[in-house]
Amino acid sequence: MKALKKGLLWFALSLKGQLRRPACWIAAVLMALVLWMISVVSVPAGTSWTVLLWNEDGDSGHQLVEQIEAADSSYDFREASSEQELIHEVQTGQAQCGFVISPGATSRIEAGDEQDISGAITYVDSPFTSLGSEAKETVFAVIWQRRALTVLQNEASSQLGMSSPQERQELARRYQDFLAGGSVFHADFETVHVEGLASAMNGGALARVQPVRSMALILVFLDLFLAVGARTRHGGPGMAMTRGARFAWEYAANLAHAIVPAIVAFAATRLLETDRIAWWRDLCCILVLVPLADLWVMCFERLVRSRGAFVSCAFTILVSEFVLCPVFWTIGTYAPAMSLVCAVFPPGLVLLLFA
Amino acid sequence: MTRNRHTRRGDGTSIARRYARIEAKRVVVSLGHMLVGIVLMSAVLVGAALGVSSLMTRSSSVSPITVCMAGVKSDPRLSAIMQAVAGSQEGVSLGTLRYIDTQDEARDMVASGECSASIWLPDGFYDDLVDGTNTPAVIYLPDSGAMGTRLFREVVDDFVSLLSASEAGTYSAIEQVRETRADVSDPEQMGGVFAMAYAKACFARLGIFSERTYSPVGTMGLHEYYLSVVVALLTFGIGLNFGFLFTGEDEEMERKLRVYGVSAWLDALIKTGVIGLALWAVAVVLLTPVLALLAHSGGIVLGASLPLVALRLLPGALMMGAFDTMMYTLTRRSEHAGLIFLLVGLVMVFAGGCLLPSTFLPAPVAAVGDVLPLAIERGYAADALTAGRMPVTDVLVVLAVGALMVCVAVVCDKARHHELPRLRTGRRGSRGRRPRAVAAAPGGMAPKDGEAAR
Repeated sequence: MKALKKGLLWFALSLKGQLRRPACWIAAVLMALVLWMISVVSVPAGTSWTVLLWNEDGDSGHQLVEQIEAADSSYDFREASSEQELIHEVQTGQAQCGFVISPGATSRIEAGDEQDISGAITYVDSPFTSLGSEAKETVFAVIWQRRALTVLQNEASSQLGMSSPQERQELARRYQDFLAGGSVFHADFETVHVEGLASAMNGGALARVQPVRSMALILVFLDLFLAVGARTRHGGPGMAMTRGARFAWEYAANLAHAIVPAIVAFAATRLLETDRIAWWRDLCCILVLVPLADLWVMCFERLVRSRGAFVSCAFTILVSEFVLCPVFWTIGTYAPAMSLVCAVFPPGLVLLLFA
Repeated sequence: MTRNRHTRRGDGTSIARRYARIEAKRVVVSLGHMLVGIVLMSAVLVGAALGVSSLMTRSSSVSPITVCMAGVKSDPRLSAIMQAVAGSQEGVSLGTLRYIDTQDEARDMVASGECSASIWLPDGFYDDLVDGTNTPAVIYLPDSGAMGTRLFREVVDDFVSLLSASEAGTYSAIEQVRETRADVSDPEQMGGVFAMAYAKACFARLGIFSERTYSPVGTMGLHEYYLSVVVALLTFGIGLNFGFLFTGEDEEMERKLRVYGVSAWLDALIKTGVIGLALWAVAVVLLTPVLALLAHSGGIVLGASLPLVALRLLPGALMMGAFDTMMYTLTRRSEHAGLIFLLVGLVMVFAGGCLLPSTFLPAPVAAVGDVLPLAIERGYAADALTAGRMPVTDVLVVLAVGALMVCVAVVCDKARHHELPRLRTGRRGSRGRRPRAVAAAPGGMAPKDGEAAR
């Protein structure tokens, strides 16, 4: 009880000392700024399913655009107001890619052979485009609804001599009947609920991009890390204490050091994070992270004796955490085992447990 | 004799040389302690940069998924088709195929997270397909809505769409031949001809698209761009590590330096030079093998020979040295110095196009980011790596920005020592008092050997 009182007193005094330092508030403002910047920066490949269309082929091209827009697809097909807008949005990552329907493209698609249709549609992308090749498949699937009839009529004409307008019309009617009648091949999709750890690995915390929450936790962790690095240099009253008392004093001082960043992290997460979870879960993230990270850093400090070596790990840890935690991408979806490596550091573990 | 020696030691040039030697020694010694951390940091940075640049390119953008397939094993014709699909370019980029036995297993594999999607083909599926019987395939998808799964559904939808349209064409041809052309003995065989024509058209489907690419990083490749980011971040990161050499420097020591003739200007210039050279040396040592390897394998195209590229990086490193000097002069005695330095660095990373090119950022953020030191260093490093002839203006800009930051450091240092016109009255502790040691110091007193060393 006496030790607890002493610990609380150390914590209160350290916190008081922290709150009186202007640098503490400068760091808090900078931290809020970083988290705001994180919220406005988005990795284009990870978020956008927008695909822009630009028609240069008059009314028939406009019909094709409408057909593509109406397609049942994960992509959000949208007509651009100009070709320049299409290029700009693709270049800036606001759209995954774009398609320009060249003059005469639809008539070539509906009437011509394979040589004629070559290059009828212009596909526009950037090196950051990630889903463009699949968008091409989707656009072709829509075009194929028209093109399949052309192939049928051309083949019937060349193989069977069915080239009269009546025969072509009859073929077209039968084709539409089969297509609309549902007697052709189709697939039934069923959704299955995924539970437990599998959910965490495949669709859970570490598989969802949570930029602000992840970065906020990383920054609180790094604040503790750098505070420990700075304290080792300064020494302080802990140097005159017994080993146990010194550990308790350092632990309390570190906790006090992380209080302001933790409050900023919680507030920023609630205000800026787009991936919303219950407020108490965000609070749990912070409340568990601070003592856990404190312990982690103090153990790490005892492993790495040299202060130079200890401080030099800060930037490495920042970059590693940035790559491993779901700040802008989810490493686990590319290499599932990395999700577990992420949990080696307190922010990753806390995200896995509470977010 | 002794007096002469003292006079010589007290001379400004000698003091500067000795102070520079001491600072260089401190940096070199500390580099030894930080070696493992720096090598680790470089490895992580290079790995992350190559990973990010590869991740963002179209070839490997979406993580491959595992798809389970039930009902195929028993039918060798379906097995052959599925192997061909799995071996195709689209199949390989989408994921790996795993064969299982039953429908229940297909569902359970998705529920347990062992695979991202399952396909179950009922018995006689292939024969039904050929006969024109509508037997649907059943596809199980997880409710997580992960990107790979979403994309898989899109690809399956497209495939079904192609297949259904082709089937509709083939069936209508067979039906028309059967009803109108009595001379054709085997309409089903004629259906095969149509099916082949459709298959041919489908395989040639991508020929319909011509391609145009617009890069947000101009003519530079993504690997080159992110390698320039690595150069900037490496110099920034090592600079952060040097911080512990300067945090906690006590006021007494700074006063002694002034007494011995090390002015604020000299102090800032020596620190900038020493740190800049150390940053440059470490960056060159660590990055040269990587650059050589990438240039050899064709991963990047260097604008000049490797030694020349290494030499070109020097002005940029000196500018980052000036940045470090400025930051540590501003935050020298704060326990939060490391965090403030890191947070300022993070602002520069996000706003300066070190994560994503500036074109992806909101215009005001990009505009501010472009004038921050890290963005200037990244742009400079990009030119140093890729330009055939280095623009002189680039070198002048980084040196000018470096000089500006040294000036800020000096002004800050002078303000701290009340060498500037006083802006406020002193209130508490030694901060508010004039440095008496300077006034009381006997002019020309020589420092003892090692006294200047901290």
